[in-house]
Amino acid sequence: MATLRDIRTRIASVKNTRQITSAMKMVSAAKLRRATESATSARPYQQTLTQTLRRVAAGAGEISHPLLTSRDEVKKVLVIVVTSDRGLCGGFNGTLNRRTEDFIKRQRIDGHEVVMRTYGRKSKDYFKSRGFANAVSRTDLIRAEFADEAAKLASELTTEFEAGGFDEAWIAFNQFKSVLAQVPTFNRVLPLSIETGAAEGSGDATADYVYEPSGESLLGALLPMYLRTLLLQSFLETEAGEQAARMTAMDNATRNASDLISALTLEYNRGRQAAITKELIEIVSGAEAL
Amino acid sequence: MADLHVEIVTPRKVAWKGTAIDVQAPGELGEFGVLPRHIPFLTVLAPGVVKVRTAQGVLRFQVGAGFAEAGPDRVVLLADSCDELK
Repeated sequence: MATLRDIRTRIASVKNTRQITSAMKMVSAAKLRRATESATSARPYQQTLTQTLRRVAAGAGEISHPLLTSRDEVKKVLVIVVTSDRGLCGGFNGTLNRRTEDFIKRQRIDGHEVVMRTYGRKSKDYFKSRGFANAVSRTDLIRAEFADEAAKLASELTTEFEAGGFDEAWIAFNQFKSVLAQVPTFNRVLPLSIETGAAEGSGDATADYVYEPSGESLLGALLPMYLRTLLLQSFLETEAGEQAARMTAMDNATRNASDLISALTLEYNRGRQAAITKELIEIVSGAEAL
Repeated sequence: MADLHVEIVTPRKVAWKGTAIDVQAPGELGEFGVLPRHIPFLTVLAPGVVKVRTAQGVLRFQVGAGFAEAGPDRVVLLADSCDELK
């Protein structure tokens, strides 16, 4: 049975924990606002680019570009996984890592060799002990470097892909659906796929454009840009998702701590009351004995 | 006279948005100008200075590489970077 002093110490310690979790929640909320801002402000660029690309691709008819062509025989698959550097954000990284591992297993069943690149300390540590000790990894990426890193990664991937270093590249990241939902997503980034499909909206979406230079070389300029944007988007979504996940996790932790404190306080008060009653009985029975 | 709706978009944000009388931009194959009722036109944008003439005066932007899409009544410039020059 815990003594009153023990309970008091526990209450104090849980209160400390609650202070930390609620501070972390507040910090994440502030960071989340900035992260969602930069994620949403990057969206118009991506949307316009995608639309234009579709239009060019639809207008160019038969598209043949090295970055768009699927290899007949897929031997080697590159998996890029993007997680955060820090933990304490619920299942944000764990879920993605596990799903990626499943994904890799499936690729291996299909007879593909898998190579990896990791972003963020959490995926680096996870896959280090799972046979990817020498995967290319990058940690401590800050938002100001996202655009440069995306450009660098895009050009490295393009070079490697064209040189036959791998036949397919996939990126795994947490898509930021909302504050409560971050969805592990797998996108094939190389070879790129563009749904030409029916252009949305009115018929003049497929109006005859004048291309300068030709449609094909325009495509050559647009595709690397598109790849870069896809990568950038996954960095931005991961950052926003991380903060959202941490905020939710810390909110839960804070609430748990509050529940625990009220339960402990109840127990403490009950114990104190019992002690008082006991002392009173002792005094009364002592007086009776006289 | 018809107006041109101009948008300059970078990966970071929509850098500028508004109506203009005409736009001049550096294409990869040389500088080009867009007036209202331009034919649909797509080109690669070279780094350089974009001039946007509005009713209030001329705005100048330093833009990075990207591409430009011009339609009858709109111009969309997608560039890596965009800074207004004073």
